[in-house]
Parts: sequence; C-alpha cells; structure tokens
Amino acid sequence: MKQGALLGGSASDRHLLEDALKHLHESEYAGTSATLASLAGALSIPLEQAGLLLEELLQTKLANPSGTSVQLTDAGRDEARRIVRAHRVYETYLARETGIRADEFHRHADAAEHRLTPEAVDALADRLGRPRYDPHGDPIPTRDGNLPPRRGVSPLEMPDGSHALVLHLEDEPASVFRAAASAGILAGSRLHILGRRNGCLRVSVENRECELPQAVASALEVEPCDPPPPMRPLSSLTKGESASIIYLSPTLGGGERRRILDLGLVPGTIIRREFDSMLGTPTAYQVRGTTIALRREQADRIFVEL
Amino acid sequence: MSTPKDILRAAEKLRWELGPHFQDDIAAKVSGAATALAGRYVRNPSDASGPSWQRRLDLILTGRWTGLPAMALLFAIVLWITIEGANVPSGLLAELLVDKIHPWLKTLALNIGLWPWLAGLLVDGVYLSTAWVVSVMLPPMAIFFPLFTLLEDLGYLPRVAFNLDRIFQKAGAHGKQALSMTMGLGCNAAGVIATRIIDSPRERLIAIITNNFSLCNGRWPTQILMATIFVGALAPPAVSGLVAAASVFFVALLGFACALGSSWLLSHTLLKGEASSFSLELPPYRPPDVLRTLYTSLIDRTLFVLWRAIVFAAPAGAAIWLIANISLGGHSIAWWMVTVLDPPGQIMGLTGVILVAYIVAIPANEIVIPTILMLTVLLSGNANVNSPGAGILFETEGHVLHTLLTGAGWTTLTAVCLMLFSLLHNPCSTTLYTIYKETGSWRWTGLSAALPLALGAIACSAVAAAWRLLAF
Repeated sequence: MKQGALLGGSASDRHLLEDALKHLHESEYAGTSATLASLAGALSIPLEQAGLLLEELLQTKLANPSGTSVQLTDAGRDEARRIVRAHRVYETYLARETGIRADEFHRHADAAEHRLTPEAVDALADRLGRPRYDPHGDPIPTRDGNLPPRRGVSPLEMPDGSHALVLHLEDEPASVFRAAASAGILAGSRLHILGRRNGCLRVSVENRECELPQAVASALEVEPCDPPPPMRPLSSLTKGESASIIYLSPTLGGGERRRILDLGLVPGTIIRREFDSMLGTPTAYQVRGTTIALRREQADRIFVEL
Repeated sequence: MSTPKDILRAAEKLRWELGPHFQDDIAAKVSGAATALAGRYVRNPSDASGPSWQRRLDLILTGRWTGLPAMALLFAIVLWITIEGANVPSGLLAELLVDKIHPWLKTLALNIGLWPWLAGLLVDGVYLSTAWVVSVMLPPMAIFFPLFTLLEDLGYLPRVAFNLDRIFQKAGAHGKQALSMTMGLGCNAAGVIATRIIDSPRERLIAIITNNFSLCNGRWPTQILMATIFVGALAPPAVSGLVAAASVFFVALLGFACALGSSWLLSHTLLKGEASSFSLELPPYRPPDVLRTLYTSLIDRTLFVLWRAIVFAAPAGAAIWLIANISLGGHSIAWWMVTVLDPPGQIMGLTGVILVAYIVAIPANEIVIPTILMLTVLLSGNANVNSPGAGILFETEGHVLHTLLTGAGWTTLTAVCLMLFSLLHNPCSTTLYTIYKETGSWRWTGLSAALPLALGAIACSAVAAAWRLLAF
C-alpha cells in the first residue's frame, strides 16, 4: 500500500500521520471540514507540528487542499479506512474475547491500530466472524474499504414521547462514554424520550429513568423505532413463576451474550425461576428442560413479558 | 444482468442494514426450529424439571442453611477416605520399593562393579526419590481423583460452584474457580489444568495463579505430621488427635482465604477487568458410570500427573544425593547451603535445613519431609537415629522423629511455621511446568511462584516475631 511513502520518519511520526488521516476521515464522515486548527486540536499538538503533518499528507498525495480546509484523496481515504478498520476490529476483539473494561477499549485500540498489519487485521476479523459493527455501534470498514453512509440523528432532535434506537455512542471523551455506559446506554439500547429538564434530556431505558446531560446526549446517535412491548427483568420473577423472554439488553455483550444465546435463552423462550443458591445469588432457572444458573447482574439484563 | 459479483456486492450492502445484534434473531430462529423438531419427535414422559426427588435434593444441597454443612461433610468424607485409605497401600508400596527393591538394587549395582559414587547417585539418589514420590503420591491420587470424578458425574460439583459463586464474584473471580480449587486439593497441577472450564481468560489466569493455595495431597502428610507430633502434643492426650486435625483443617481453610484474598488483589491490580458472565448448567443428578469414571480418572488425571512428577523427581533425587555427598572446603554442599540459609530461615521461624529441603525438593512436596530428615541427621550427626547414610531419604516413627527434630533445635514455633510455609510457598515444579504450558508465559508462571512465596515469607516472619515477642 502507500506505507512506503508514509514511513519516512520514526514510528511516532508515522503514528501522528495515521492519526491525522483518521481525523480527516472522521471529519469527512461527519460532514464537517478539517482544518489546520481542528487537526491540531484533535491530536493535541502545536499548530506548527500540525502544519508539518499536513504538508507531508499533501506531498504524499494522501490529501488535497480545498479552500481553507483539507480533504482526503482516494488513496488517503483507503489508508484512513485501513486504520479505522484496524481500530474497530481490535475493539471488537477486546469486547468479545478479553475481560478488559469497556472504557479502556479505545486506549488499547489506539495503540494496536498502528501496530497491526492489514493481514493481521483480516485474520482477526475472520476469527471473529467478520463483524460489521464494533462494540460502540460504529460500522467497521470492509477489507475493500467500504463504509455505509452515516445515518441517525441526535436524540436531542427527537420529539418528547418518541422511541429511539441508539446507533452509535461516541467513545471520546472517555468521561462522556463512561457516563452513558453507567446509565446503561450502549449502541442497541432503546430509549423512550420523556422530556427535557434543566438542559438535561430525560429518557427511560429498560424501565429505568435517567437524565442525560447535554454532553452525554450529543455523544449519541439514534434513529426512530417502534415502542418496545412492556417488559420486566427476569430477576423479578418469583420462585416457580414462568414467563417468555422478549429482550436481551445490549449491555449483555460479547462472549456473555453469545453464551446466553447458545444456552437457548433467546426471545420467545419460556423460562421458569427455580431456586436460589446458598448465598442468595446466583439463581437457577429452568429453560427448555435444563437448569441454568445465572447471576443476579445477568438476570437484571434479560427481560421477560409483563 | 446480475453476475455473481453484483449479487455479492448487493449482499455486502444489505448486511449493513442488519445492525449489530442480528445474531440474536438467527439464534432465536435456530432454537425455535430445534424446539419445534424436538416437540414433534421427542416424547417427554415426565415434567421437564425432572422427578421431584431431584428438586428436593437441590433444595437441601443448595439450601441457605443446609448447603454449607452438606458441602463440608462431603469434602471431609472425601479427604478422610483419601488420607486413611492411602495409608495401607502407601505403606505396602514403600515396603516394596524402598525397603525391598532399594537395598537389592544397591547390592546389584555394587556387585556388577559400578563405582560406589555412581551406584549412590543412581540408586540412592535417582531411584530412591522417584520410588518415594511414587509410593507417597500414587495411592492418595488413585483414591482422590476417582472420588472427585464420581462427585462430578453425580452432578454435585456444579452445585458447589453454584453455592460458592457469590464469594468468588466478590473477589472478582469466577464461581467455577471453586471447582479447580477443589481439584487442587488432589494435585495443583491437575487443578491448574481444570481451570480450562473457565471461559474468560482473565478469570482463568486468576484461578491458575491462586490454585497453589489449595493444599494438595503432597502437602497433607507434612501438615498431618507436624500437627500430630508438635501441635497435638500440646493438648491433653484425650483430645490431641482432635486438636491436630483441627489445626490441619485450619491451615486448609487459611489456604482458601489466601486464594480469595489474592484473587481479589489480582483482580484489582494486575488482572483488572470486567467480571465476566456466569452461566452454569446444573445437570440433573444421575447415577455415575463407575467403571468409566475409574478409567478416565486413573488414566487422565492420576497417571498423567504421576508421570510428570516422576520426570521431575528423578533429577531432584540426583541433586539431593549430590549436595549431600560432594564436599567443598571440608564441608558438603548441603552444609554450605544450610549455613547460608539458616539466618533467613530463623527469621521466618524455620531452619536452614527446611529452606534447603524446599529448594532441592521443588519437584514434589512429597519428598520435603524425607529430605529434611536426611539433612538433619547428616548435619547433626545424631547417632541415636538409624540413618541409612548421606543423601539417602528415609522416614521414621513419630516419637523418634520428635526426639530427632527437637534435638536439632525444633520447637512448636518451627512446626507451626513449617505448616504455614508448606501452605504458602512456590508451587512444585510439576505445577509450575503445567502453569507454563497452560499460560504460555514465563511472567505469569513467575508470578505464580513469587506470590505465594512472598506471602509465606511475610506470614512466617510475622508469626515468628509475634511468637518470640510474646515468648511462649
């Protein structure tokens, strides 16, 4: 690929160039324009250094000037999507196969994206079943560099009383991501927009009400969806009571979700609460003729009909 | 008009529409289809939850008040059968391999004209320590592993994980660690292999690193010996047996606490991360297939572990013989090692001999006590005890042992600290090798050795300091 041209300087120079490409790509994808100032801001580097980076990108024909802003060339876009692909595939790997905390995915992937060769990324993607979306709900560029156009709107633009499906949760800054994640909101969550109060957006997610500060709400991208059927968590069943599973929270992710699906806890399954462990949790449930023990934290995130 | 390429391109485009969780729908469809098929062709005579005695049994074995006593009772029985049951075959094996074959081999070696040093190295060193490991290790493992597998087959072991999960969850670990730790009571190498049932790599590493805190079969004899001739002897004769048993039980319990404590420590420092899922199938209780159980547990677990132990014990036997028989500057290597290690040993309430024994007997905990005895006699020149010679492992009767050890300066403190150190020291080399094989990393292997060793040094030193301060 274009690596030969890029690999002029040291490894950290190459990292900066790749980060600059990512920034140009991100701006293009979001429909905003990338400038010298936005580049310096995104990479937290002085303006002169950003200038040198831009010059290098222009010289190697990865970017073209367009008025006051800079745009990717086709070659530059390919290169940028290769890096974005490495980042998102690696985050998917972290989410599915390691115990690393969700708010640390980004940091690890930022290091890995510069290290992984395209072949290694492809091999990793093959192992993961060629995922299309990363754990934050972002589409992963295919190996040919295809990426669907951005869709979705800010939840702030949704009318009160509407229902919205979260498509994307921005993972930067980490504090905003953590705030959303701790409210139980991830890509795939269904929000009920209740209203606005003191600049906060009041939403209900999985029967819990919470208030999202402006910064957190604008880190989300949503699309309108149908209202979900009324439901309650599996943990609210009483001993011996049966109900049909209707929904698995997106907070059950990665290997945990796969395992639960593999055990047959899929929407439509009848489940009955059996008995609690000696210490109160986990609890044994009867599903399809087998007894499965689940921790309280999991039973809280599996929903059954009301 | 539509070539395969067009179709592929259209499919690729459509896949974006599926969203991140389309696997849910596929899984639901697959399960639904399977259920429909099963409903058509499988007849289910009884209620899906199985016969009611199964449920009653579950209520007892996992009950709030009955779960713990039932668990304690079952494990006490298993350990008792193992320890008591192993005595006779161990004695027979020792008589055959150590008392009969060893002298015969020695005579044979000398008769065919082998140099005495080579005969000593091979017969007294390599052969004898291997024979020792086999006779001490084989019977308890051949009893413990089948019993363990029987409990597994009966369906009880998953209930143990179910019962204890909350405790492990609090420590940032996985409930199935209860199973690998129970397995560790038989052998830590087998316990480390048993951690394969834990899916999450982080929680599996925690289980591997802390498995050594399960007091393995090889260490029970040391515990029981020290508890009997030192700790139990403090109590009036009527209850001395009970006191000795209680002290061993306490050490095993301390091991459990250390495992939980270090799991917590690891999951909050080096192995930080999300607590993974816990979904455990609780299979119905069923009568085990005894023959198959015997076969698999003997072949897969017992012989496998025994073979590894033998591979490591043979060179250790040579090393033990050599340090006792090679002299440097008028003293044996053993003397030099003991002299150097005595000061740190004293700080820890132990002796130099004990530390040297733990270094050279790293292949198997079983030969620690015989090595201590051999070194003690070698270095103190005690003529009251009938020692077979330098570098030759042996054991002897309780009261003789007490005299021998107190003669070498042992006190109750030494015994208590030895019990602690026997619990809290690096895993044997068989286990370390297994940890390396399972983790593929020298770093985690190193940590698995350093963590218990550091804990042991601290615990022994603290007990010794407190003991001396209070001047028992």
